[in-house]
Amino acid sequence: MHKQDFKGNIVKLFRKSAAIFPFIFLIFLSTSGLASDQVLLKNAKIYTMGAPGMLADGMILIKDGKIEKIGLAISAPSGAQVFDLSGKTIIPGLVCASSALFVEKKDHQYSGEERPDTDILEGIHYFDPSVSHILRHGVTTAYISPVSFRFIGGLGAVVKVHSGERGELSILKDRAALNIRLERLQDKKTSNILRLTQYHRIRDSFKQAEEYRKEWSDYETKLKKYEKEKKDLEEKEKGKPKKPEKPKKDESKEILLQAMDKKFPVRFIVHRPDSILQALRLGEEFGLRIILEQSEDWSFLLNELEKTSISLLSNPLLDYRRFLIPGGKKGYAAQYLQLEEGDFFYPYRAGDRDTQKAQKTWSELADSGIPFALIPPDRFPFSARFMRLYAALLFSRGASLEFALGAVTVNAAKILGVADRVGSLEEGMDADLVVLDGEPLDSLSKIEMVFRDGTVVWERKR
Amino acid sequence: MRSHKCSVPLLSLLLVFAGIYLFAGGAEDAYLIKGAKIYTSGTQGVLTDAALLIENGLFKKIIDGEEWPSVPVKDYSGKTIMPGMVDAHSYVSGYYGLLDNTKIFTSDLITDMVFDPLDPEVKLALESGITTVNLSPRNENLVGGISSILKLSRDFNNISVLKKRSFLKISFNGEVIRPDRAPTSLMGAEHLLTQKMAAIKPGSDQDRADIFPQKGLRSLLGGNLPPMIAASTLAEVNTTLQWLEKWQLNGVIVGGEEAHLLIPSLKQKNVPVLMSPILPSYPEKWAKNAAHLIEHGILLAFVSHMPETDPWSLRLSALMLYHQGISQQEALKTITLTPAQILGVADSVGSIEEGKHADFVVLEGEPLDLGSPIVAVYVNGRAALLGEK
Repeated sequence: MHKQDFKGNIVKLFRKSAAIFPFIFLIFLSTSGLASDQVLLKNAKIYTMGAPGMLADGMILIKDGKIEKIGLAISAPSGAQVFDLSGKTIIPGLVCASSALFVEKKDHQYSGEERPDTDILEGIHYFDPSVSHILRHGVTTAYISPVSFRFIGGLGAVVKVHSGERGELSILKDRAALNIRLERLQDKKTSNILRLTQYHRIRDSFKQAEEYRKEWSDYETKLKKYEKEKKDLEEKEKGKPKKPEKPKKDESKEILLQAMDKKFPVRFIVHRPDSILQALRLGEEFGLRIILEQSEDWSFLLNELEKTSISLLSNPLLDYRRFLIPGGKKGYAAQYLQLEEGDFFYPYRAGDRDTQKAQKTWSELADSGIPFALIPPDRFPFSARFMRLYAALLFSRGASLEFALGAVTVNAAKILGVADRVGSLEEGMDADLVVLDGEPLDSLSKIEMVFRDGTVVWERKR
Repeated sequence: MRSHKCSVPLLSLLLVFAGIYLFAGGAEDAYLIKGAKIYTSGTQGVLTDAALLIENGLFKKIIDGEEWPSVPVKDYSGKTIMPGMVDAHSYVSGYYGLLDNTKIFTSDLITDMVFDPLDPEVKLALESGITTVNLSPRNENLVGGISSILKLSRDFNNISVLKKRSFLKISFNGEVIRPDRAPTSLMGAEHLLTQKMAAIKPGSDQDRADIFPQKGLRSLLGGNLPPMIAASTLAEVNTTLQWLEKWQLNGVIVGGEEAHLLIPSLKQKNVPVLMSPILPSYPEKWAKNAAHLIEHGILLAFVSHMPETDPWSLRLSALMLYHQGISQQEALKTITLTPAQILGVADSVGSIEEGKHADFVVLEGEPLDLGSPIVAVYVNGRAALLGEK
């Protein structure tokens, strides 16, 4: 739209000026004319999070929404818009590996039926008011998904944090993962029996999907046989053989089969160590690619997890044993966030949360090489904007800067399967980046600018 | 003659002992903290090159120079020091789930009676840099009881109470309203409270002090105990302000999420606000509203309502203010000096100033940078965390 208007203006200008002062137009063209799609960012400290490493005084050339060049010295092409960012820091646009974005508020409550073939992209809340808030905090990419409560909850997608004037989305990856909640919480309490019934229900679905596959392969062999027999009989003119019955198509089972063929990963939402083990068991039985989501108690099973090829999505602030909101059940915040009585939970004695021990476990995770990304600590839409803050907290718990910042950029993109487009600043990648006035994990540093696909989508007022 | 002979060695022996005692005593109690950047929250602002002389659990002297007394030195070079945080409304210590809310007037309850230093939440709060708390009854009773200000401690034999009776907790919060017992509405709550106060007012013929002592409410009426009123929405805050006006009382509002809508009345009646912390799930405008209150000169402090939120929410809330354009020093005051002023204990805690209690937090980086871990926490001049000496 804008581009066309701009070109239209130029054409008008050309018509007006060409007859009288053609040379003025020539000057105009050479300085700021048609090549203004190019943007050069210079003199900034760049955390590329990719192959170029950290550039102390780097430059980025953006063309057509992509990173054309990144390095220490790039000569400005004629007509490029140049931003001098001396004293500033650039990091890749942040990636939120799990969000409540584009999901209607009331859909966060149990909606009744859950099916594996529910696709978030088919039931999206386009004009989510939290989009602009999340974007201005530097989060440019997010995983969105239907909410899973007690079964296989459906397919998620990876999108840019963007909703156009007509609600158009920019989708990086559809069918990015299948969501399964393995641990049923009732009033925030987990129950062994409930969890077991749920586990068996989910396992049954996968079993049924296997049978479904067998049914279809049987049908296909029978069909081949039938066609051959039919041909033979027709040649001999001896009547018709019996046609095999075609099984019914089942979209849900097809989705489960695709997950079993590792077409997309399965995200298990789990909390306790025993349900993490159940997720691993399901993964082994059905050959699934697993992402563990939330899984607060991963630290008990670090050695187990190291042996498998799972990815982990968690947050140091998560705690399934405790969920309260300031002001209490009927307080202002509870009303604002539309919480219900059953959402509050508090055990009489919180487990002894040892900070020093926690610090040790987070640095152990960093050393273990398990792919890890940060997610917001709760399911409220606005929580997704503080990805940088969660990384800072992780950093304060003993993780390295690379690990903490990677957990909201490149590693998150890798786990989501979109690392070829976002998560790091390399040539050919989307020009999603955040300009800060200080170090990225210093919570006091302020965001100056946010670029998404090469355009400035937010700028701090001076 | 005889006595003189005897007294010389005795006197010298006494002198030696006294010397040993003084020397040992001095070495044990007094020490110097140096090398750190100090956010005092007080009149001295930020000190980059000062040392703190701590003696008998107090900040004896803030030394801005090189003339240090010969006492043991703790070097915190490259670190930052801020005052111990003051949490003016906390339920910390594990009795959160155990409040009897069938009675609506429990004004005789004193919260320091139920303080349990061994509770894991106390440790959590200390590790996060909270050193002073105002332990409060919950919002579920109309008159919940009496709050107490105490220093957090993990030692049963060493709990220091700053003020045993600090406030009478009154609640106009939504939690007091229930369908199964009165009050069933905000109006009803205000009416019930007024009725009760009228009944126990000196000279009232309905007074039944022998059966219902209600000492808390009596001292409120006598002007000995200020009220701390839980109110969040516009209606609740408005009711609170009118109720204070009616009974000619000076009170404090706790909660205050919509207090910004009544800035002129708050300012006129000089009512401070103990604001609920700002969590990541709240929209930007909540921080903006808090900043508005401060800009209009309302005394505002953040409280944690622990265990309803985690103790780090105090620093987070102050950080949110910083991102609304308030300076780090001013934002830091909302969790250190201002709550101490509101609680009336600013002469002993809340800032790093000479003569105050040596409660301070040593951080790796800037105080409001959540990425900078807490290195040590000192209460009354002693390291309060385990593994610290």
